[in-house]
Amino acid sequence: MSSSVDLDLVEGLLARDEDRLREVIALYGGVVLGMARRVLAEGGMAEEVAQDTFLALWRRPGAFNPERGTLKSFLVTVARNKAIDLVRKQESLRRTKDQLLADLRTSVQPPGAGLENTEELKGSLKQIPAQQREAIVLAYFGGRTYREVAEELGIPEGTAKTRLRDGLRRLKEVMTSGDDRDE
Amino acid sequence: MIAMNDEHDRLRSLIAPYALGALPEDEIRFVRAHILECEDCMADADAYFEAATSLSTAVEEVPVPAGFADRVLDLARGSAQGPASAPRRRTWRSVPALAIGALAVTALLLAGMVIDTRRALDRSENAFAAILIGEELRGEDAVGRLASTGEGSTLVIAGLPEAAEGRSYQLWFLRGDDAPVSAGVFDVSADPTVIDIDLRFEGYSGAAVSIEPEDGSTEPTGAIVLSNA
Repeated sequence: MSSSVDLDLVEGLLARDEDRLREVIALYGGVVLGMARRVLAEGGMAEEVAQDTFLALWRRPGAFNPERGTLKSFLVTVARNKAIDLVRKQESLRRTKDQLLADLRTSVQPPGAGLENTEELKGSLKQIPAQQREAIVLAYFGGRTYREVAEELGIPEGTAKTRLRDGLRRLKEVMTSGDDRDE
Repeated sequence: MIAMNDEHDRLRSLIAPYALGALPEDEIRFVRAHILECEDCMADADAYFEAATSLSTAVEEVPVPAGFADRVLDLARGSAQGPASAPRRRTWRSVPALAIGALAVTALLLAGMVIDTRRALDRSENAFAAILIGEELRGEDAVGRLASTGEGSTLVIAGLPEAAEGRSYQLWFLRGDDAPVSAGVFDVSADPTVIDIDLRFEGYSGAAVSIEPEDGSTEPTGAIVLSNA
C-alpha cells in the first residue's frame, strides 16, 4: 500500500540517516502538525506532539508497517493518538464541540490547492449525514468517548453508538464507490 | 441463548467506538477479546478501522515553524545515540545507594500498588504485565515495575510525586558501559501511574529515572529517583 518513496525513506531511517528524517519532516511535517492542532487547544503543545511523533519514528522506524498503509497515514495516526492521550489527561487542552464542528464546516469547503487525498476525504465526509459526521468528529478529532459524545450532543448512548457505526459504514461505502470509479 | 445474543449485540455495538478510539478504557479489553473470537465482529472491526484510519488524511497541512526539523534532530541525536560524555555517565554508577535503605518501604508500596492497580487499571494488560513480570526499579520512597510490552514498554510507578514546576522525569535505559539511552520524558498524574514508552526495554540491562528540565536532557543530569541497580 505504501509507495517506494515511503520505503526508501524508512530504509534510510533504519540506517540512521538524518537527511532522510529531514525529508520525512519536509514531506509530512505540515500534516502531522495539522492533526495535532486539530485535536489540541494549545498550539505549543501541538508542536511538541509533532516533535514526539517524528522522534518516535526515528527511534523505531520498524513500527511502520508498509502493508498496512502509507507513511503519511501512519504518522498522522501516531500524532492523533499522542494528542488524544494529552487531551484525556489534561482537560484544558480539550477543544470545545463548537471549535471542532467549526473545523468540520471549514474542512468541507471547496478544495484549495494540492492535497488530493485530503480533498477526496473531505468529499467523503461531506457525504455522511450531518448528525453522523458530528459524532465522528467529536470522537475522532475531539477524543471523546461515545458516552461523552452522547452527553455533548444530548442524545442517548445507544444513539451515539449508532451514529458512529452508521457514519463509519457510510464512509466506507463512499470510499469503496470512489475506488470503483478509479478502476 | 438469548442472554448470549444480547451480550453479543452489546459488544458488537461497541466496535465502531473502538475503531474510532472512542471506547472508555474499562470496556476496551472486553471488546478486543470478543472480536478475536467472533468472525462477524472481526469483519466489522476490519471495515471500521479502515474507514477510521482514512480520517487521518482529512486534515489540513499547516506551515511548519522554522527550525522544527533541527529541533527534532537535536532530540533524536540525544535519544538515539546517547551522549559521549564520560563524567556524566559516571553519575549513573552512583545510583544504587539511593535505594538500598528503602527496601521495606518499597516492598509495602509494591504490595499496595498491585492491589490498587488491579482495581484502578483493570483495562491495562500492559500494566499487569509490568507489575507481574517487570524489572523492579527502586527509589527512596517510590517503586516501579518496567517490562517490554508489544512494540514498546510499560512502566508502572507508585510513590513518585508530581515533578516540580519546569521539571520532568526522564527514563533511561542502560546497557554495559554504553551511554544511557533516553526512553522518554514524563510526569506523574496519578498514584500509581502507568507510563507508555515507545522503546522496548528488552536488550537493556538496567533502567533509571532522573529529574530533568521539562523538555528532557540528552544525558542524565539530575537526581536519580528510581533505578534497578
